[in-house]
Amino acid sequence: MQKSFSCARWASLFLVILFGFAGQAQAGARRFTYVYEATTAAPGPFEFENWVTWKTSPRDERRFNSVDFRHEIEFGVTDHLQLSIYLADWGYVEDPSENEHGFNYQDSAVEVIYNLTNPTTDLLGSAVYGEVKAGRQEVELESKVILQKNLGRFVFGYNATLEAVWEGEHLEEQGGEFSEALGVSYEISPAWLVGAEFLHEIDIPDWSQAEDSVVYGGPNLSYRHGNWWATITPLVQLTNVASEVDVQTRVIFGFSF
Amino acid sequence: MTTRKISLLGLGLAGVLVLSACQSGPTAAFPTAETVAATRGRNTEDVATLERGRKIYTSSCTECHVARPIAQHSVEQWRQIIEVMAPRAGLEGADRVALEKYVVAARESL
Repeated sequence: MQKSFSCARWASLFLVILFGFAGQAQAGARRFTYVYEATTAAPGPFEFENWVTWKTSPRDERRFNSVDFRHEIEFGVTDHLQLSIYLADWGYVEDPSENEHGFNYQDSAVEVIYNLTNPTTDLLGSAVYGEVKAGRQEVELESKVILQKNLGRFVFGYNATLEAVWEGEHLEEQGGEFSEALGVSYEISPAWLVGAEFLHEIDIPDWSQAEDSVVYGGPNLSYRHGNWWATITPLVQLTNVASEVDVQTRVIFGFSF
Repeated sequence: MTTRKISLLGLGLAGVLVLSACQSGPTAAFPTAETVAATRGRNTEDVATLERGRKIYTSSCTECHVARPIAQHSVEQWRQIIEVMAPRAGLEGADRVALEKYVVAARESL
């Protein structure tokens, strides 16, 4: 219990520090935290985005807790091409069942998004996404199809994602994951947006047998003021897969420079 | 079984949406540069500049918020909005000029 509180306190401290640096920034704000949007950043400003994802299983006797952090620098290369560099993915994990406690560096990554069609003026907005992650004894390739439609004050987003992972000292362990993310956002005012996101994941260890699929759902809230923005999505597991976390909450906070 | 159904449904939806995205067209709320130039008659603005402005309006501006229909504000209101919003979006020089030319011309064409 004490360690859970400590974990949350680290996350809070991290957010406070980040908000403190957000003085004179510009923004290209996200409506969702799990769903990627089809629009890409215009060439010019660089954007700094910080992700915090807290996963926990309060009902589980394992008392699993983890907080993952990502720090992303994002910029537009052309009107349709966006490049992102994830400086470091790291986190704090507390997993009594694996006797694992403490901070760890996971990987760094490069991500490319190419916008194909415009969600406002075309019948459907779309983009393709590719990401390469590399860490200690881990390489991961991720690809997505991103779809989006803006209808009045509503924005609908859908992602289909396929990940391939190689792990181990000689990258001898292989596996994959297929996931889908669906989101809807409504713009109450230029500053406040509310909506919902759903996440559906299927692990495929060794590319042989798919494990039980897990579905999460929950509301999202986004706020932008001046030149910074923040979006939060708490997701609750809607299935009953004991090996997966019950609750995950993601906050993304961004500003440009 | 449920998982397979959900996956197939998702993939099917994605496929349909990708195919339907191949067809695109102008939206009445955001007139095309050609429409604006044609309806204004005496308009001397370069169509390419207007098209550039429309592209900025429907892509850069929508990174943070949905694009408001052009008819929602008067020309004077649009000028004030652009004055405030352009710095936030990092729009400068030719891009800002193109945005303002498009929004003003599109509003006047209605």
